[in-house]
Parts: sequence; structure tokens; C-alpha cells
Amino acid sequence: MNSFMLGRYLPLDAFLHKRDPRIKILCMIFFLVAVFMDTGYLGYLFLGILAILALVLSKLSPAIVFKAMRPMIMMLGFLLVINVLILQTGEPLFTLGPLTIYSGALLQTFYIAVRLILMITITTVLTVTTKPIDLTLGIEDLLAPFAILHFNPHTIAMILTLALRFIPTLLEETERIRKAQASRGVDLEEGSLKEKIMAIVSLIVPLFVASFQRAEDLADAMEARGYQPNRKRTRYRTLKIGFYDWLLLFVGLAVMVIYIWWSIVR
Amino acid sequence: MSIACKGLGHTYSPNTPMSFVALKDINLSIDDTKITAIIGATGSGKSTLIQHLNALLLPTEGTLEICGRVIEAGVKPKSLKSLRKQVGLVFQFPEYQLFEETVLDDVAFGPKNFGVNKDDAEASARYCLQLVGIQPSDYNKSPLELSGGQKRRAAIAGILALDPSILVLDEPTAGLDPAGVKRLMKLFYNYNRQHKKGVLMVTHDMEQVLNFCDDVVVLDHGQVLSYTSVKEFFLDTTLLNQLALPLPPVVDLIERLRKAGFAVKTDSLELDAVLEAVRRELKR
Repeated sequence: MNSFMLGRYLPLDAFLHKRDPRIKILCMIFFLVAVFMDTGYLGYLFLGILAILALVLSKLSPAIVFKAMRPMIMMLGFLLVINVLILQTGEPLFTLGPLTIYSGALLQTFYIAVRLILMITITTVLTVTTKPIDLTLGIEDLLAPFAILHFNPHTIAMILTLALRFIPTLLEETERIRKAQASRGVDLEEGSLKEKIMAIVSLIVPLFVASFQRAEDLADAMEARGYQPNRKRTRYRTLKIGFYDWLLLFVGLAVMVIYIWWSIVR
Repeated sequence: MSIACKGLGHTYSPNTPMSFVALKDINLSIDDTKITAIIGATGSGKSTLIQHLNALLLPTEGTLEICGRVIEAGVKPKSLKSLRKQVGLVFQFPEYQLFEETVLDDVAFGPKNFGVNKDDAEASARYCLQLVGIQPSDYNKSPLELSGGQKRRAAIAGILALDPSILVLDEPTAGLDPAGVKRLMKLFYNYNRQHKKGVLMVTHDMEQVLNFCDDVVVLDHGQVLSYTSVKEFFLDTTLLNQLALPLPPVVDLIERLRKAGFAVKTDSLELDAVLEAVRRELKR
């Protein structure tokens, strides 16, 4: 469980850690837009350099990025197989029995892989440098304009905060139940398919029951302390945008505009 | 037979910044025909130690010998299932492990996992449910319909149904009402005395230790502070006071009388024996 890096905050106190979460979220969106612009090799090279710069500015080691990437390796492999089998663009490179591999398929897969890696890197940078609580505050603020549609961004932010808050608790709970059932002879590694399904049921049912129980208790506790989702609340933490934040926003915006323009003129 | 720990140590997440030494150099030889209490403050390693007994956790140092098996640090043991049948581990708040559709099915789930056929598993489930005092009318209810105390007892029956030769319990009575506590403690006592099975129990209740246990292991910061018989443990209150543990009433009485300069000479902690010692002292 400790190897689970995707979406985890690391208190490293680097340049990007100190930036305003709203700015960081916006910059991530700008970067993602740029990633999806079709600008060829050169464009991805520059985005790659920007991503590495972001890693440096958040004091992240490549090992951590690799760890975050690991769950995606399966998906990349899957994509590669599908693409190679289906896409028939470009030059036929070589033939394997009834199968012909085209250069277009390899190129397409390479692009998707690069895009995925860039996306994962930049989203990891965001979650690693931003405390979950700041992240939800940022999302709440960015969703504020939607209030005119009778949509309460605070509710969404609260749901997100609670969901993030309970991830470690649920992992702990899962581990506990796994051990309790292992003591009753449940073996997740060995056994037939039927036994394995039973093993998973014996984990999931208690986990669901415990989660619902927890949710109910939490709702009661919140109500007991007078929580009302539609009331205006003041904040203990307030976000401030400083000079470096404006600079970061400007850079992010500039990158996106340049990439959109680049993909059009290309 | 005994449960032997030799230089047993356990470190969580070794070689990482989060690394934490939970147990170090545990040397114990626990008599597994008795009822042994394991006591110690929160974080002293009690739960970590008992999870080694059925190999849910493996030692990172030293060895553990239990039920004729040797578990060595760094050696991956094979087929732990047989060990898990012999050593029944009841976790703290075991009611969270209930998941089957009926109480009876849930109790029979464990034996079935260990290859007992359906009929025999249900027979032993019925026997164990009756042992923990669940009414036959509740056997076909959903476990979720039971009260808190009943759930706890059903979950414990789920481990008893495995017929383990050593029963290990992590605070089995936490959060139960006094009547429920007494009933469970009697059950564990009988399991040891009548069925001749070993019982190990983590507890914070000194009264339980005094009234139901034979030996006491005291853990402190992942190390064994003492391993004595219950009588020795309570007759010398130095360690008890050092650990800031509440004294059971009888022990408290002796302690107060001694402090007031009244020597109670007793080698038993039965109330009658203590009162007799007080009478003897008064006659002198």
C-alpha cells in the first residue's frame, strides 16, 4: 500500500509547494490543453523540458515520478497492442504472419504514451505539491462562478475533502479486514477462482458495511456541530496570490496560447 | 509445548523514512496450556506480537516457534493455512469481519475455508454459537441485525469454530457491558480448562488478569518487561505502580494496609485467603 504514489502529498517545501492552489490548478489545465495540441516532436520536447522544470521546482526525484507512473504501464502496454493491431496508416514496416505492423501505428502509440506520461507527471506535481485541503479550497474557488446556476461549489469541495480524508482510513480498514479474514482461512493468493471470488466478497462486504456506518456517524457528527451545506461559511485558511503566483499564471497561460497558435499555423 | 520467541523483532516499513521498530529482541517461552495475559500501554507492541502468532506478520528478526512450526526472519514460510487453523486469532472489534447472509453461515465460513465439509462446518458452527450464548432463533438472521454484543460473540464463535489449539484474542471484551464481559471471560476460561487449549489475551483490565489468567507478559516500547505468574505479578506491586496500572481491589486493599504499617502475609490473592491473613495479623 505504501507504494501507492498517485495523488499523494509530499511535504517538501519547494517553490511549487508555496504557490497558490488555484493558480496551480489553472496552470495544470493550461498545460494539459497544450499537451493535446498537435505540435509534433518539437512541441513535446519543449513540454517535456517544462515538465522536468516543474519536477525540479517541486524537488521531486525521478524515482517518485516513476512510482506514480507504474500503475499506468499496464495501460500503456494494452494501448500499444490495440493500436498496433488496428491502425493501418503510414508505411508497412514488417509482417508477422497475418499481422502487418505500420509505422503510423507505432507513431500514434508513441504520441499517446508521451501525452500520458506528460499528463501523469504534471498532475503528480500538482498533488504532490498541494495539500489536499488546499486543493479542495482551490477547486471551490475556481467553481465559484457556477454559483449563478444554483450550484453550490462548497458542497463539491466538502465532498472532495471528505473523500480524500477517508482514503487512508479505508486503506487501513481494508488491511484490518484482510487480516481478520486471513485468520479465518481466506487466502487471496492461492485457491480456485470460486475461492478467490469468495475471498473478495469477504473483504468487500465488511468494507461497505463499515463505510456506510462511518458515513452515517460522520453525518451525525457534522449535524451535531451545526453544519449546513447551504449556509455561508467563513474560512480559517485564506488563500493569497503573490507576485510569483501571477508570474506562474502568466507563464502557464503563455504556454497554452503559444501551443494553440502553433497547432493552428502548423 | 510452548510458544518460543527467540530474538524476535519486527520493523514496519523497513528502509524507508517511515520505518518504525514495533518489537525488538523478544525472548519468550510461553506455556501454551495456560491462559496468558499480554499487557502494556498503547503502542507497546501487543497487537504486533500477537499477529506474529498466526503469521499474519512475519518477524523481521529472530525466530518464532509455534505448534511445531518454526518461522524465521527472512525465510518465506510455506502453506500458512495449517498454522492459521491451529492458532485462532480474534482481532479487536471482530464484529467488522461478519459478512455472510446468516449468522450460521458466517460462523461456518472459517471451517469451510479449511476444508471441513458443509455439514460438519455447520454442526461446529451451531456448537460454537451455543457456546457463546447466541439463541438458535438468531442463527438464520443476518449478522447485521444482531446487537453489538451479539455480533462480537458471533465473530468470536467464528474463530472458535476452527477449533484452534491456541486461541489468541486482542482485547476481546473492549466496549462490552459488564455482563457480556463476564460471560466471555468465563467462556475463554472454560476453553482453556475444559478443552485444554492455550489462550493468549491482550487486555487492559487488571481484574481480568487477576481473575482469569495464569501468566502475564508485560510489554513496554516493543520489549518484554516481565513474564511472571499472575500471583507474583500482583504480590509485588512495584512494577504495577511503575506502569501506573490501576490495582484490582484485593491488591489495592493489601497495598493500603501495608502502607498503613499493617503487614498482610499472604501468598494467595483469593479474597478469603487475604481476609484470613488479616485476621491472623489482628490476633497477634
